[in-house]
Amino acid sequence: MQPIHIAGLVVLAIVYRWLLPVRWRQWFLLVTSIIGIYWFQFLWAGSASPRVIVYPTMTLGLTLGVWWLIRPDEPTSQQENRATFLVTLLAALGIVLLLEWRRTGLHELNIFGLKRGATLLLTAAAIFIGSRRWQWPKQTHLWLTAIGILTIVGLFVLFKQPTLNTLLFELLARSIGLSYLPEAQWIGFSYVAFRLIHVLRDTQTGKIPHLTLRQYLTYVIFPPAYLSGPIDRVERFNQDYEELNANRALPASQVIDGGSRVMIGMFKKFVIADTLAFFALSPYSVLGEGQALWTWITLYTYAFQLYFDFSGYTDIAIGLGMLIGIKLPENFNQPYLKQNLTSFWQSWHITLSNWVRFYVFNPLARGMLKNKQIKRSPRLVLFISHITTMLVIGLWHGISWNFAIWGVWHGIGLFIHKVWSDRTAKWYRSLEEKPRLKRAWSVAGVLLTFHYVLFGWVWFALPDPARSIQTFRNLLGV
Amino acid sequence: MSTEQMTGERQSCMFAIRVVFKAGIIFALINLLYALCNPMPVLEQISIYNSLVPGRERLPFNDYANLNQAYNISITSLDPMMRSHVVTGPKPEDEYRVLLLGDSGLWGSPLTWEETLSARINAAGYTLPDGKYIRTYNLGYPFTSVSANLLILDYAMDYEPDMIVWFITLDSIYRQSTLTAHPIVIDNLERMNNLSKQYNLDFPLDNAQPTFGEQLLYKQRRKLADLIRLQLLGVPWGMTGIDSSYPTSARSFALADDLEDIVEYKTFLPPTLPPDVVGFDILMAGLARAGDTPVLIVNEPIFIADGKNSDLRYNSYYPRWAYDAYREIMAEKAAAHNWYYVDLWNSIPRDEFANTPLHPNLEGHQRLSDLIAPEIMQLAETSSTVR
Repeated sequence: MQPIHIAGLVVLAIVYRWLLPVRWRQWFLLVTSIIGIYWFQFLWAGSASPRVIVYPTMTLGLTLGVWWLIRPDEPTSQQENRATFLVTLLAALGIVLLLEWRRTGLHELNIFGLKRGATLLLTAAAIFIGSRRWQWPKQTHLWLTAIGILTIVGLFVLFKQPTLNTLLFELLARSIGLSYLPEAQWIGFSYVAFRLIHVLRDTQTGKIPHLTLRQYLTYVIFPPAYLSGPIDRVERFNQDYEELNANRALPASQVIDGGSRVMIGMFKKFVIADTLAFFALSPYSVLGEGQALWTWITLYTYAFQLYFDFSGYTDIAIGLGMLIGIKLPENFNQPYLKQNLTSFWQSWHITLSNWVRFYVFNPLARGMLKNKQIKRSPRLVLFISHITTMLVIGLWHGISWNFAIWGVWHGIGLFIHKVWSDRTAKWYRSLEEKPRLKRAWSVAGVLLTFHYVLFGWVWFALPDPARSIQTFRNLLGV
Repeated sequence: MSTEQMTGERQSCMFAIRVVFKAGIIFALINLLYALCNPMPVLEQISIYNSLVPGRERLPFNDYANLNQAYNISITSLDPMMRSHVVTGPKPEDEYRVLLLGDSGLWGSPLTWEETLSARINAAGYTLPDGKYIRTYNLGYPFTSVSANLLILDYAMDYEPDMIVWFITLDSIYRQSTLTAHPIVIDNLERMNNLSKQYNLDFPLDNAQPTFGEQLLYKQRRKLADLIRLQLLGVPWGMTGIDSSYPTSARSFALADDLEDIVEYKTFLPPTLPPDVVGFDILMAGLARAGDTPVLIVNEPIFIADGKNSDLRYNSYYPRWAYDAYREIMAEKAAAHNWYYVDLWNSIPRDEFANTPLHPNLEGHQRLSDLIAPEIMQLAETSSTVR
């Protein structure tokens, strides 16, 4: 996204809060969210190619499919849900028609192809609108939830794994005639997948209040957070969402906070991060022998480029959310100034860390500890839990060896820190009486943590592990 | 809605309007100030090259790769462009400075700078009897145009060249739109206009003075951004020596031997190429600008196809009749004006070309350097003028 697009979104957000009648807000947000997911894909594709239609439509289809599993059986919201579904359907169809028209021209519009798609959608709509929710037994619901989660994970692997990705592209090229697709990038799906899994799992455990389709859909595809997070929780999102129709005035403080947050984000991303990108470590960096200094420069630069890029986008998302009236959660808290790796992961991509802690680490650790049949030492449980959790985070970024290694790198680091911290807890408490030593220890901790993370970025930045090893050699001047 | 809520809403509305209004005023003021001060000519003089980082061995140009892959960016304003080049660095006492002018073939698409003609001559370490070593400077720039060459030559004359070697080809000297529409010409209209007046060039150019609107910061933002990027890219250039990134496919591209049966050259049909379509006045202006500095004019080599319709055309650029006519005219002009002229049109074999009929590959540049270096040495030793 370019600054001009973000400026447009800011204007849209302000117009939305000031000019739109209050009762229209939630509907408007829904429709613009649907338009948004197609627009983002269009921006990425750079042209009105068929993939602009396919991926966002799959997002909507998957989101509605999950809704089918979680929807409450309340008569009060059924009418609204049907209306939401119709609005969604019409919005999606309208966009598809428009994009097809733009791509092929009206006289070449592939009516037959659209007929097939439209028929499918209308059939799905009829089933959705006309049918009643089945009262599944709890066990069946559990199985369906598990299947839903596995389906989402399966799709995730399919679209993130390069070999499967290529096969998929070839299949798509043959079936729907995709002619240009440097990579089959399903924009925003990483975040959508985690939101859907969160909703599925927490509905099954009863943690989530009943949602209307409109609330749920807007949460999943909320435009400011669609591309790069943060990964909000639906119950928190809903608190602000329900205020949208109640509160007309946009307080001046919210305008200042939201607007300045957007400006800060844009400065971080488009000025600092994009400038650092010239020097940052990348797959294109040619780092040969005798370039130790340059390798160090590229690595340090990468660390800060990544931070400013990602936190910049987060600031923009949070700022836009504020202008709309949704206060998204923070995602960064000075991560490079933390004294240990655990604190780092509580400050870097906070919402992702929280997500994997809720849905991977805690259940895994608890499950292993509770399992009486296989005895495991707590330390082993901790090790497996840390490694698995960080592996999930690594593979979430991409299903490839370099991300897996990066995840394991951090998993090992977290485990070592936990063991170390447990062993030295008493000694650390005694530092309260020695402020100088404590300060020195803190500084050392920050430097050590920063550099551990820094070296981890080598694996993250370079897709080929062999190149990463070469980079480490360059750093050492070997 | 209560009165309190309405007041709050009005206040926040007024606040936002005030903020936007003030931002607009500040934006307009900054733009106006910028336009009034017009700092661009001064800013373009600032360069970290040849001081904080080494000068580039080729003029900045990048039409292919990401900036952070090639560490290069296309800049066509002469000041920053030339100041980033090593030629504007200090001249050693024992250096015999040879400037090479030409197009992308000379610049070295799609090779690294170390693989080009200029680098190869330098690597060979030629020295003259008086002990001076020959140091060539690659001032080639992509897109064939003698008018762009003239502008670069005019600028570079301030840096004490001892010889100019000017590579030309039919397309570079053909009086066509690239003579006036070349990016370097467009971006340096005032200088071009001055040369045009000085040497009576028949050059239809628009008024060179930018309007006030064009001098606003908003209008100049892209130029300013590119200027800053060029300076920033000096750091990775200095650390790595990389100024290009071409894919293997471009480097190992096999030119087609089979050609289309088109005999037209631009808008002309055989058998005659009118002499006035060839921009000799620009070439003459360059020779005049060089003054007493000897100029070696080289008709650069071209790819000669050997397949279908190769009896009609030499390659995808040139039909035979037009190119042969051009060579005849060049030979006549060289004789009439006593130029030091070398025709190397067929000196490089077909398999020593890269991705276009004017781009020698690795071996082609080596062969060219073996051919050109003796000519340079001879001209340098005789120290005779060629006009």
